[in-house]
Amino acid sequence: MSPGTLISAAGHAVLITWLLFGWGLNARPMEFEDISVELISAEEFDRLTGATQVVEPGPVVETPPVVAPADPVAPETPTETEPTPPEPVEEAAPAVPEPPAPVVEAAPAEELPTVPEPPAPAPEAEVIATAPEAPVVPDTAPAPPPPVISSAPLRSVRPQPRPAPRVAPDPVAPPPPDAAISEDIATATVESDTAPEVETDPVEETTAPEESGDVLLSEANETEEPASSAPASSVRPAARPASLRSAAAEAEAEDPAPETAPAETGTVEDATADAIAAAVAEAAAADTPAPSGPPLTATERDGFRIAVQNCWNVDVGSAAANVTVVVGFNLTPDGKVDGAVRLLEGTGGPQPAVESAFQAARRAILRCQSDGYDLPPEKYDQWRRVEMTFDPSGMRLR
Amino acid sequence: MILKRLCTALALALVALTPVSATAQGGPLRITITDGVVEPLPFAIPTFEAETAGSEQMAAQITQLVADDLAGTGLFRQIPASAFISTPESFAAPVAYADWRAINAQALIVGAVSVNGTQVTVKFRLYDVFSGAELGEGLLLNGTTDGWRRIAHKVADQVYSRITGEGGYFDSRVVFVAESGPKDARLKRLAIMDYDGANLQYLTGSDAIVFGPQFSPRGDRVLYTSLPAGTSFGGGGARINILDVAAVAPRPVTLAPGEMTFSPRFSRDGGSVIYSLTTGGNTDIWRTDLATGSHQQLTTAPSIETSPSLSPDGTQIVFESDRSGTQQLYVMPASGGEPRRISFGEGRYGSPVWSPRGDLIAFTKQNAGRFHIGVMRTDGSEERLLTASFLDEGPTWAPNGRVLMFTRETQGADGAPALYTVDVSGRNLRRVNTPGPASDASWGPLNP
Repeated sequence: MSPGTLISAAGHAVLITWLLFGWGLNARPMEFEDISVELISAEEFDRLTGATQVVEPGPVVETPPVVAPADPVAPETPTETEPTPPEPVEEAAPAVPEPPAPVVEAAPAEELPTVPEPPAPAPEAEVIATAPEAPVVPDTAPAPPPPVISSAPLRSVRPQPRPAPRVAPDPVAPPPPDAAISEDIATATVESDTAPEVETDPVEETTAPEESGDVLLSEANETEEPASSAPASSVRPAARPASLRSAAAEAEAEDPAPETAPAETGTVEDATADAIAAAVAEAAAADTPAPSGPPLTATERDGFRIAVQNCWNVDVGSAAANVTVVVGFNLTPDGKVDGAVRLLEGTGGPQPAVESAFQAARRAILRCQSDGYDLPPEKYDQWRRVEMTFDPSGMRLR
Repeated sequence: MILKRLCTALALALVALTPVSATAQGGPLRITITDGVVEPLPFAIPTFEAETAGSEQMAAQITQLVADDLAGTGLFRQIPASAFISTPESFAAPVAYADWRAINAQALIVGAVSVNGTQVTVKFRLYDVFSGAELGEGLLLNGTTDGWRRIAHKVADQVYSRITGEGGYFDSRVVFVAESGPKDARLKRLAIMDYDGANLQYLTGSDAIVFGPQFSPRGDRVLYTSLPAGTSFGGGGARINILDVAAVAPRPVTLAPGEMTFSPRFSRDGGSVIYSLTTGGNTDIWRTDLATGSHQQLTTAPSIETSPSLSPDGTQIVFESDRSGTQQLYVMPASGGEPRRISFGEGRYGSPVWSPRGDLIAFTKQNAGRFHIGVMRTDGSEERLLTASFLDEGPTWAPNGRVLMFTRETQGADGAPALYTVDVSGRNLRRVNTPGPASDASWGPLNP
């Protein structure tokens, strides 16, 4: 045999052997996963989705009572909404509940301005819309026919706890002319919030336009919405004190992550800080009333300093611009000023100038605290008492 | 082995010390803030409550003027009423601080106005919104309906004073030279007005040219130089008059004999006049006691010394002199003595005026073809130029030493002088509202 044949034979032998024994290969076939697929109708799907949304309203329903104090009508609606949710699935068509949805959103937004508690975010509004509206629809349907003008708007407002009073005064006069305008705006809101709206009963449309009176007000909402977003963040800090007081260790474990993030002290520093704090806490378990932790890092101190100086308004031409004041104050665990800001020392000018400088310093501290200064809660004992020196010498008539 | 024990001991010590060090760190957190912002302080002033029928207009006028006074300083910014979340139901109603904090109103002024016949009563309260406390106590002011502007100015002065820690200047008057006619044949009359240009009143006719008026420390008299028609300044026609503001009655002042007297200024007690006197071609500074008529020469240099201005405590005089070859500023004891030069910058310095606060000296500076109003410390340090233009001159201090008024003249054949104010920080340059061209302002004291 020629060498070529030998090589060929040997190569084939190796290949066959390798295929037979499968070295390095897993010849086992993949296991199939069994997934059962069921076909459901569109209606069923709507029910399912409606059901899932109904579950959410629970927390949402809590918010309306907060707003309720403003409007007497408001408290009633939330209570009604809770029992009703099942109804929409059975009786009311899935499409029906949705149309009012946009209206509801517009309504709460409108009231937000007056009521300084705006924490109702968009998602909540949607949830409320679907759940409560479904039951409302049957109610409104009978109502509009008898008193077309007066009662109609009032009841349409119902689903939306807050808007009721506002709607009442405005729409009284012009039902027909408003209809055109209202439709435009109503559809606009519908698109933004819940796009898929197919069926809408004529009756409901009449109610919707009336609420469009609200929509006019909703233009004002746009400007007011930002105000609502601000307080929403204020909810956060509340969590800190609770966790701190309950258990220092928990506070360290939970809070540092979200709150120290802005401080940007570095994860390594945080980690070590936490570790040290935890060690100290374990060592002196019952002795330390509040977490002390290591001293604030330079970054944390700078963050605090910058936060205050952004609100420190210096009248560079005044005698107070020559005055250095030292003020003392206490902070709560969530970084808010606790009690009064005290003047500890004032130098560089006559008494009126010192008083003016102190007022400016106090305004700076109180103004910029907003939702609490961003300080690491695990180091609360380090910053619960603050002595702050305001020295304007560097900015005097430069 | 020893090393291991040592390490163990160290570790134990560290653990033992840990709680101690933790408690030792329990002192207050000390932070020093050296940098802030410079911006107007936002204030809210809801229209004062009208407590009597028919006083609504008066309440609105007074409210508006208080707001204008404060906003005009550049230190405050009025928050428009359209931004208010709520307005106080009445003067005595509790303040909804949260509503004012929400719109960042840092000061809140609440007031009430009642009118009975020709009598006006205004009461107000000032609140520090963020500390949730009242600044000072409520104040009640009485006046006549004709003098409602003064009442409003006084309210504004109180607010200004309580927030800035300095005296106000709104209820004050300015005497100046009102000009009319073409530039080459201009008529100049003495006039007096409120600091904001209101209540203008002429004190002299147009039969003589007047210039350089100076208020007395109490604001009851005015010194000025008069040049009757047909006479010339160099020919000895100029004379210094003193005028009683209330009676509008001028009379000449008898000063030391000489070829020419000019740039007169009251002493701080108003009992004497310091001025420049030219004799034998030499100009020096003199003082004349108005009660006794006695004269005293304060400088003896062969150069020109003029524009004397006394320090608030009356112990020193700042003046301009060309003894160094160029016009510079000097300070000497009020009774005379060796002058000390304080201006060393480029250009020429003139018309120095000592601040009522005592900390600064304002001056006119001419350099590189431009005129400036500037200030420097009384030792000549920290010179700062506040303005620059074709012609700025003649600074005069507001009664609280915070604002300067001066004359700015525009260039060209149609150029005319006008009065301007500028904050001592160099901010807030504003033109004073006068009916026509105006110059040579002298800012009087706060009205009693």
